[in-house]
Amino acid sequence: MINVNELEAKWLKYKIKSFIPHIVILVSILIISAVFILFNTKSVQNNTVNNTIEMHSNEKLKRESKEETSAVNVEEKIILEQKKIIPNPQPKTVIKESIEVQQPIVQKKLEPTHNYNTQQNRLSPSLDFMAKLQGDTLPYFDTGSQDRVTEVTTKVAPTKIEIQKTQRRVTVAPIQPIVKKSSIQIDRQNTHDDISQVIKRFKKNNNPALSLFIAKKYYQLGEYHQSYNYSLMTNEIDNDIEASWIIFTKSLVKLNEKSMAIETLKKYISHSNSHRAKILLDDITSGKFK
Amino acid sequence: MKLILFILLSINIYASTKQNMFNLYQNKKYEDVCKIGFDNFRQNKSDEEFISIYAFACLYSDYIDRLAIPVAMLKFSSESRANSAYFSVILMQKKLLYHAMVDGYDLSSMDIPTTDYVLSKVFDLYSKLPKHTPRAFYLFEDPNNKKLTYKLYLSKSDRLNKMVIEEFYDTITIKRHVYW
Repeated sequence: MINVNELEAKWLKYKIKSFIPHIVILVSILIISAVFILFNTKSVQNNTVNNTIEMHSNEKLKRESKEETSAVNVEEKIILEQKKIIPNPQPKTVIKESIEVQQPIVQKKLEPTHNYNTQQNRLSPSLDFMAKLQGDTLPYFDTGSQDRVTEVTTKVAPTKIEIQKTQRRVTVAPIQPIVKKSSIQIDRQNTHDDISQVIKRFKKNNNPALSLFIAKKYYQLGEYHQSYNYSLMTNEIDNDIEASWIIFTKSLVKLNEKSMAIETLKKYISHSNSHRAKILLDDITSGKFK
Repeated sequence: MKLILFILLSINIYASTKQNMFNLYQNKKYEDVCKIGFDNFRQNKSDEEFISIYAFACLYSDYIDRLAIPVAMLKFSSESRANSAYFSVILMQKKLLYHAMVDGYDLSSMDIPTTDYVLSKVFDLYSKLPKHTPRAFYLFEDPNNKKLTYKLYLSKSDRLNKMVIEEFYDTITIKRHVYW
């Protein structure tokens, strides 16, 4: 005979056991999601708390100001009523005093709106976070304890040779040695370090955005040979980047190759019809850009 | 194990969105960056770098109304506060200029901060005009570059009037900004 009770008990145990992994997974997901939500909402809660505090304080201030003004009105009313009911020998002076005491409080609160923004200021955006973002995208390059300036010279030199080979097509004046070791370099170390990191990254993935960034940075630093080299590299990878052609021709002008710059720009304009390039060409020919 | 994989994947997606936005921004694809930022804003609302790059992209692609939220959110670092002030001035100038163009609101008494953005330049030039009857269009010359001119006018339609700023360099149209 089959013992039904025993079988049912066994089945129940089996069923409970089969549910255990599901329950464990569910509980762990719930705990982790709760922790995530807590971390995310903590900052938001702080903001909302601050906002509510500010709102409450603003409301309080408004109420206070309303109360103050209403208090003035009530005082005036009371005094006027007193004036009507009780014949006071000096009622007018009392009213004046009460108003004179209360009025400045209200006026003080209104004053700042009248004297607001008397001087015109020019606000400018802060784009330092871009460099930080650029740094965040380069996590796997450790510069170590090496001297930064020497690193720049050693790493950049080989690319220079490559570019000189490609230069033959364009016939540009020979490129001078790149980085000069001088005492001023100390101030530039951080920028050079950043550039060297970007150069490493560029060598790995050949992204034209990176070479353009390097060209721009070198141009900003006044190292026109390097900016020329990297803008040329960018043009070779992708010849439709307007900014790269502009840096390229600007660098040429700075390297006293004005005629070459004009020629290049004209070719680029005929190819792309770029307005920025036209403006630059105009500036170069008129001598506005030197 | 599956959970860890899920977490790692979500972190990777988060990082790749920001990286993608940065790459697009470097390539001056501001409109794309603004759209990606808009779609992923909820997940990244506590990341000020993300908000900043999103806001600059929206500014350069003329989605100025989208700056309202970054203005409110950027506050935890001095750089963010500077950018927040910068965006708020541009947003305010856009709204004031639009109000002036559509409703004839007088801006001549205004004395507010300015920026290097084209809208601010036009706002400054317009607000310097004395009280006048509304014109079909306004032509302003850039005080720093005589070849640069700005044309300001209203593009009228049944539903909504749009404010247009056109940048000219030697009679060539460089850029056209439409605001409403």
